[in-house]
Amino acid sequence: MYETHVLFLMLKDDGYHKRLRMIYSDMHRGLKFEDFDYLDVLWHEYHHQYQTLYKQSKNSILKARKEFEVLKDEFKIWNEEVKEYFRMDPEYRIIPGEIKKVFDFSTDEKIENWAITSDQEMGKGYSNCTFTRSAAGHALFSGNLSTKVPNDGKTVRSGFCSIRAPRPLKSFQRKSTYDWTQYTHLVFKVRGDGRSYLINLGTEGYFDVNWYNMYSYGLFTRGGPYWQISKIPFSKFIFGSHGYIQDDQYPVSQDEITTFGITICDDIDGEFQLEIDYIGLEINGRHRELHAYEGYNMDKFMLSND
Amino acid sequence: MFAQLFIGYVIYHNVPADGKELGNILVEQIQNATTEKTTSDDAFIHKFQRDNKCCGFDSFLEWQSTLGYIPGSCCNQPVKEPCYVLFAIKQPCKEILKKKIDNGLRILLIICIGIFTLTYNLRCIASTSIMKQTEADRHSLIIKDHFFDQEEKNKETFLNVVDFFSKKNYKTGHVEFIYAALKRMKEFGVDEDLEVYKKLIDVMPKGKMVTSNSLLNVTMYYPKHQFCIVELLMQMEEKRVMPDKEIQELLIRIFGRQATPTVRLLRMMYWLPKLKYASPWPPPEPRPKNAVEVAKLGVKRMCSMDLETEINLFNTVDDELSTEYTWIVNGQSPMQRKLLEYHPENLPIYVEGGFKMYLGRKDTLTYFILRADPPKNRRRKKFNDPDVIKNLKIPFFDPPTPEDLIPDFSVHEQRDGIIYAVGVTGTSSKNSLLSWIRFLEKNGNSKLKKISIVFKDTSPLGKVQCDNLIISGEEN
Repeated sequence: MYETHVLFLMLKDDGYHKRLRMIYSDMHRGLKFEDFDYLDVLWHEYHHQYQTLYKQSKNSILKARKEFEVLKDEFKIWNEEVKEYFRMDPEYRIIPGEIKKVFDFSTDEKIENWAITSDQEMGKGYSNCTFTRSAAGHALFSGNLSTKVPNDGKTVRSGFCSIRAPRPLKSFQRKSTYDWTQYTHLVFKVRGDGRSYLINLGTEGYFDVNWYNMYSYGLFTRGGPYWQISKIPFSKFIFGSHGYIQDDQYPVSQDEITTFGITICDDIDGEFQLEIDYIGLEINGRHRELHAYEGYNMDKFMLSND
Repeated sequence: MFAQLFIGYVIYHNVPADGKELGNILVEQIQNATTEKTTSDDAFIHKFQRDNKCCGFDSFLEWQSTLGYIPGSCCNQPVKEPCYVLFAIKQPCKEILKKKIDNGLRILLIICIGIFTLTYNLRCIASTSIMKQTEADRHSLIIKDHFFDQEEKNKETFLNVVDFFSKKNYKTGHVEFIYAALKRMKEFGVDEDLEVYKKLIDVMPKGKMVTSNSLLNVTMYYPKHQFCIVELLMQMEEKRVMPDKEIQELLIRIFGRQATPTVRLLRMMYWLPKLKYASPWPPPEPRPKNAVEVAKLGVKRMCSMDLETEINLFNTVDDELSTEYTWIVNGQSPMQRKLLEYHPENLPIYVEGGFKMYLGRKDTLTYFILRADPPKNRRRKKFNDPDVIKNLKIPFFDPPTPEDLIPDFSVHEQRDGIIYAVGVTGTSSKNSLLSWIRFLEKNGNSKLKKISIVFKDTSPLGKVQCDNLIISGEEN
């Protein structure tokens, strides 16, 4: 799998700067540190290509030059963003029934950018999974789910695999969000194996209490050789935090979606495979439902947040 | 160990002897009071006398002899000094003082004995009881496990055990019993039975743990019991056992209306039915009994794209060329038969499989497909939006073009191939697949005789299991 790296500036006792390379995974939990023996100035997410370049060159001026090459690319993106801002040409005419593809897996890079996690990676289970190109030329999320619990004395339940789309970024690696406010449905063209999957829309806020906010709903597959198109309305998504369904439910704020992921955690041992053609968005004018779950008040002290 | 006892004994018996000395100290203090003429209320003796309503060490006359008059603290009535003899308290302080000292020392002695017995008991537990335990017992946290060591393991014996425990009216041990029961339920085959879970909750004592105010809810009244029942509810959720109103009433009787287990149950009652019926292909209920039923339901679900699909069950006894005895489930629609008729004779048809499919939580099946590569020169019909008025055609003025006559792709003509049939066999072996194709030939697919059929280990449609996998479930 394609790895994205985060560089951290570390100060050693002898006064020399030393960098540590972190291979960061989906949930920021399976962290691995590796020594990295060069100096650089920026603090960014990098491509592994850049790193191989650094390793080859020993001249520090040359290294600094390479750093500025990164800036060049970033300025290009920024330039486009500014143009886009002044052009003031937002998407205004959305035809009902027309699907806007958000994730199509036409190039290999689009598949490799996705982050993969499993309980094995976190050291809490024995499941494994991959996200590759299938024989028919689509994206394939497959692996083996195992509910076996490791003998560490802490873990009680285990068995999950998940993939997550890369977070949208603006120029200079600034964090951005997806804006899906115009649409009512998420559309999936998939071919599954009869198991059910979980779609997660993360809305990571600024404060740490909101970091693990997640809206989820099931993606049920038919199984068999035929493709299926599933349309899931945003109003059906269930609000949860840290993986627990919350008592107070809110509709998804569709302009604040930071992460998109698919998880399998259906408590069945065995192989799974989900072939994905595309993931898109659709508007349906007849879908008037804002939120599928009741918002009535309970007696005092009944719910967790009273 | 005996040090505490010894100290306690010495203190108890020696200090009353010192009590006399204490008396002397008191007399001395009285004398000092006379010499220094400190008759203020702050002095120790005056306070003591006022609090305990006594006067002098031996008698109130002491004051008379030393001080010349009786102080105000000896007075029965709120009179300033000097006090009249008539109002003076006659009771001496000697006995009260002794009693007080004795009481304090007795408490000390009791504490000493307490510490002694506690340390003695702890040592006894440490030395004797662990020696009696076996190696396995020492590591196990569950104590009440032995209840479930029954010879016959079924629902009846399990309920008998639970009944036996609840009729004994034990004061403790409910939590341990329920944890043990939850662990052993699967052995008895009752882990998906709502009635058994109800019986287990009923073991808990009623009324004792009901919370009377909201503060008790917040601070977890009887936390071990509450956690235990929450664990039980979690197991119910994992086993997909839907709770009902009766459990709610039971929990209200045990823990009250706002306790954690009750609230958790309310959450379950809200979410579980909603999520149970969310899937458009719900798992079959009740669970299919044998592999043939699993295969039939599986094929029905796979071919639900085409509502005309016919599902046939064949037996290899009817096939003369077959070498083994199994069953075959086939799914094919009239549309697929028609497509097969138009298949060019020079192109092969592939038998691919077996693919894995999950039907519910426990049943899986391995299926095979009859597939052909999509024709290369076949064009997809141009999509004309019927909502756009520009595209409207009047048949009188605009005669249909050849493009309009192209029939649209059916469901079975996918980009990765045309699917002609879906089949499941009892043994998933090559022989059974051959007889599947022979059955297809007999049932309206006579074109198959002229076309070459290739058995493939790989497929563009997904991962293929090459080894002879048998469908899970019992063979009939």
